[in-house]
Amino acid sequence: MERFFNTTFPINALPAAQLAGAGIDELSHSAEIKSRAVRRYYQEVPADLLFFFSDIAIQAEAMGAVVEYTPRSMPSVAAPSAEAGLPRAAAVPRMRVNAEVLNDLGREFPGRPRGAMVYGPFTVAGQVVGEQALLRGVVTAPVEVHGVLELSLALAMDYASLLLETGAELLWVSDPLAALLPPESFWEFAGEPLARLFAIKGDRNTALHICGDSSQIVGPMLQTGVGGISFDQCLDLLAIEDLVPPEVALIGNLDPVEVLEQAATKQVAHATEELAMGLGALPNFTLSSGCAPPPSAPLANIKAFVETGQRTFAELGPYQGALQNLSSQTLAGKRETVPDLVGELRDNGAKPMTVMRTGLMRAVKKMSALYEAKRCHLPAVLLMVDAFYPGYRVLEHELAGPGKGGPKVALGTVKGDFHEIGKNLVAIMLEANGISVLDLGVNVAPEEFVAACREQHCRVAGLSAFLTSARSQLGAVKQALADAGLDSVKMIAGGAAVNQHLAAQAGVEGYAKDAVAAVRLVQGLLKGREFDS
Amino acid sequence: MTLPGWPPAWDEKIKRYLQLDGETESKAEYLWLEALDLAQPSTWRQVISINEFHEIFKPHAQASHSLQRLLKSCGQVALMVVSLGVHLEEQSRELFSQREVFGGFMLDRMGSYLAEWCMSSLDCQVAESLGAVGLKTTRRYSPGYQDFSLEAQKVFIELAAEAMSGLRLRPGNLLTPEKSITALKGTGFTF
Repeated sequence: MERFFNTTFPINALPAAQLAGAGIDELSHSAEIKSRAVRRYYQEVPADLLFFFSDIAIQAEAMGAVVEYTPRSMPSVAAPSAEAGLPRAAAVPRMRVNAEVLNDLGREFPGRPRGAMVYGPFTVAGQVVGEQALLRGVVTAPVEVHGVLELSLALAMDYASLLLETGAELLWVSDPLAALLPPESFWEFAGEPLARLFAIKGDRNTALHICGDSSQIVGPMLQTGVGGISFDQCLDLLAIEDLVPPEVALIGNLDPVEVLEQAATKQVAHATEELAMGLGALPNFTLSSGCAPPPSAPLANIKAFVETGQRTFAELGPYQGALQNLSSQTLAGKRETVPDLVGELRDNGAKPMTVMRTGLMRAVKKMSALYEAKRCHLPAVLLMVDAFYPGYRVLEHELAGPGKGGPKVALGTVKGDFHEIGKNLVAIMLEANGISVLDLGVNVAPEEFVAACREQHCRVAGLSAFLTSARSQLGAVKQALADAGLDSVKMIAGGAAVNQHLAAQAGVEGYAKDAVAAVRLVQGLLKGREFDS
Repeated sequence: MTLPGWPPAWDEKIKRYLQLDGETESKAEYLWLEALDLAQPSTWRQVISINEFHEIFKPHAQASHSLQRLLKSCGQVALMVVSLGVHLEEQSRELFSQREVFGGFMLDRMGSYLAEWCMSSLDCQVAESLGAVGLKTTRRYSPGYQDFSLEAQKVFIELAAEAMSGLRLRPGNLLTPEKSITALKGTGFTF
């Protein structure tokens, strides 16, 4: 699906329900109401791929499942089929409605590609016979499971054909129940039927979305021949991007609920830019939501998401190859080449912040993600940091960060303890992640932490303790901060003498087992407060 | 005192200890050679009677139940100190200050490995020499283990002062040079 590389679209078009002037129950059965709603939606939202407002119950209902409709929520399967049937898609009224809406979208928005959204055979089979029964059957009655899978596959192929014949350029398949299959059973019960479904498209303009952590089944997902894989928001794309070959789209994964539905529009734009800047150096990245944004997601948020994504891709476009190279070289710890690459990008007109975020910071974040996924060791992280700093120094005079202007952390080894290596590593990793650090050194008394937090407005106090005799200092610093009225200052602790239990016992907000974990912890503690400032 | 086997080999054990693979391994190998150049291993050992030990190490020896258990049936105690000198750790700090984090961290870890290697080597030598006259030895024990106070390091420093003149105690009862270790092991004919 090369034509969809570096494009931006949310999955499905459910927030269009807000523009229907009718309930979702009515909209689901009326081509006129649905067309009107979706048309208005895409007039507002300049998405690069258009969907027709699809609901997950449509195929199961056609096969005899009982579906419940209400004005405010999406149609859902209330009871499995008494006997699974196999109608022709063109004879199913709601499928005809979707084909008509798709057709209308083509007339209204010529030149804007449309997606045919179909649900995967395994998911539909689960709705038809009951999800638990199907998952049990995978082990106890595989022949029967294959029987119902064949029926749901046949309907999916017929329905997909109807939509493709109507002019959809992309076949999008969501198969959420397949996430619950054991990885070793995925191919037999989900992958192989999906491969047959994708084959009807005849080209690679196909995409597969499986909810949840699909990182263990990327191999069999690729084996289906799909042109793009859409990942859930629970996955860090930086940690899995290497699993997806360059000819396949890596699609994802802004949080559809926490961000697109619940966050303020400004935060949506910020989160979108973060995601696009981090992944936008990849030619095969496609910016989308981690799943379908719900019907209640504010239109302003969806619009901000799409516009921010498109703007970011446009900004990165001319420098994409160079930014990717810079990121790769930084990641590989090529200290000697990184400054020149940064200089070349600046000479060619790339903005300092773009070079920073998509070139250098991308490497920092990716390496941290790989470390957390246990796919590299600390020395590889440090080698990357070695390459990051000379690159950063080229940009330093033009930037506000890292280490400047951002939220501040007061960091020190506690009183009675003189170990500094661990504390120094945390300081460097925090700075490399754009968090400024006030390094208080070693043997730091509680009152020194208090003074630093009060005078320098530090939001987090980071304590390092390697000696068991110094453990008591955690509680002492906590108390000193409370006595000084600095209860809003969060504390984190780490070092050989500390563990999760001891940190919690001392009232410390977070325990970091290493420098990478400390960064994640601080980012988490600061999350939500960054927009206050 | 010479340490047989010095310098230790660049082998799988050290690579595992440093968590190296691929790119990091080749970079670290250069630093290993630098670490060996910078390290100046020195050692000291002395065997004293158990009574003398209790007198010299008062009150730390008496206060440590774990140590008393260890030395229960021992007639003598072997005291051991090793140090790598200051150059290696100074270079590690210098690299950190220049934001060469990989090099700084690797030299620090290599220093820890080498100090432990030296102490293990000295430990074996002591066990062998005592074993030659029919004495058995306990496992090695250091200040800071369980309830054996770190303050006991001061006594080691005083005893070894002549042989290891650069060894000092920092605040917190930590040693400087940092890549130094103090340890003891009990010895006797039966346990």
